[in-house]
Amino acid sequence: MKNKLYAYLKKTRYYLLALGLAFILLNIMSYTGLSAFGSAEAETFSPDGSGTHTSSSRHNTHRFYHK
Amino acid sequence: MIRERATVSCLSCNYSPLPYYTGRAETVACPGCGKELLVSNGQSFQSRVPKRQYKAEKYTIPLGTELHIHKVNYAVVGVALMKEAGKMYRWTEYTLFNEQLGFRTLSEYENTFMLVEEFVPQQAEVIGAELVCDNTTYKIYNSYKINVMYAAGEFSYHPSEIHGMQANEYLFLHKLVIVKDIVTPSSHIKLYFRAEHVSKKIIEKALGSYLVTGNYTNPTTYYLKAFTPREAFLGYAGFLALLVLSLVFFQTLRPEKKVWSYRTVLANDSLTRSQPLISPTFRIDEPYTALRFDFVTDVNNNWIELGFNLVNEGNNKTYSFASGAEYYSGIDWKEGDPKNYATLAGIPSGNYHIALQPTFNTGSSNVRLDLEVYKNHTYLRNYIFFAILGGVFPLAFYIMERIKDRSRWYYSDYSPYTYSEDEE
Repeated sequence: MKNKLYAYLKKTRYYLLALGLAFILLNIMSYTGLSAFGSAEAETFSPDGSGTHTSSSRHNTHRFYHK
Repeated sequence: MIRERATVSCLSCNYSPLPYYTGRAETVACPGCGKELLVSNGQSFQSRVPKRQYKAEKYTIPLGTELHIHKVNYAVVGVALMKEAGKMYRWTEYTLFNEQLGFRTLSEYENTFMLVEEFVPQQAEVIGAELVCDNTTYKIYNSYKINVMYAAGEFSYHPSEIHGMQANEYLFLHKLVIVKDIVTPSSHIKLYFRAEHVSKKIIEKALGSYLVTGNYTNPTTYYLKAFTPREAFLGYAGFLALLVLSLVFFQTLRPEKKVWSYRTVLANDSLTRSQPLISPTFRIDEPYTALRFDFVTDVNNNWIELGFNLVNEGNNKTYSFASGAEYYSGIDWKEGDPKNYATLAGIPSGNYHIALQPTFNTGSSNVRLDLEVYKNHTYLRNYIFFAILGGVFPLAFYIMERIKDRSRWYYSDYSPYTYSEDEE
């Protein structure tokens, strides 16, 4: 059994190493609260209407179609 | 090229020098007359009456050629041309010799090569069309009787004795085991050989690039020799188990904690519209954390947009983002959701407050807003992403192996696959 496990670990070591590194990276991300897909902060918002957020125009479109 | 060990003539036809290189072979076959000569004491030869006179035929690799295969240097010291009894399939077997390892066989069929080595299995049993050998189940790939058409040079066996011998080939992925039956009136012995693919580059390096490319797929070719898709999936299953443990770890030992909860009804007047809502100060002790903003509204055929400003009171750094909720419905349709959430990633420790600026339809009624802000949010999407990422390799490996396996079995009469007429 021990020999079988050793043989398995030996031949799959590179794949297991890659999975291990991915696992470590994931835990670092979880510990530091990082997201693999960015943060909501990317969506900028300005009360005066400037900025890049476009959901108000999206809402207007919805209202136009649903009325 | 290596040279003959000694200048020795054939006892039968005086062919000289005989291809005798190693001094360790049991048999030397004369290229001139096809007689098989027994070797004793390394140097002297005794004529042996072969069961068959071999005819001189052409073969690819000249005797004496040195080959470097899988980090081992070999010399080609013998060649035998074989044929399946009653069929047209022919192949060539070269005797390879290495001083430390002894004899091996290099088998060539349709310009593809396999290195064949005898081994003694710890456990082997033939059950119907399957061979269970050292905990691996092989399926029958080919079954035939060997005819020796020509032999020249040295052999660790007697070519005349294997003429007519039954051989069965068993395959599991790229692992091929050849079982040869030696049947005598008093005994039945099975010899086991394992075959391993030798790339054409290795042969071409020794001989020059003259080999033509055939369509034949050697059953022992592989994408990844080291392990099987099943073993890759086993590693992936372990990885998934670790992901679940990690998720449970972060959600139990560092659970989400509410830092601000706010319930209000946003009046549809100019004062509410112009005044941002300011949260009390809250503390983030963790070096870095993710914040989750959950909000529930009662918008109906309406929308609301919330501008969030998370302000670090220590350095006035502001993290700004906008999120919203919208919900529309009719008699037989609905769209959107009156609740929503947003997250902020990688927020460092410090004292913070939130400035919230709601915006909603000027023509609508008042809007109820329930807002809750949590720290220590764990991104489930990170786990899903890594779970998918980790599974790409075993899945791709499985698909490629499956395609490869179909081509491996294409020339077998026992193929478990069915092939369309286009493929044939």
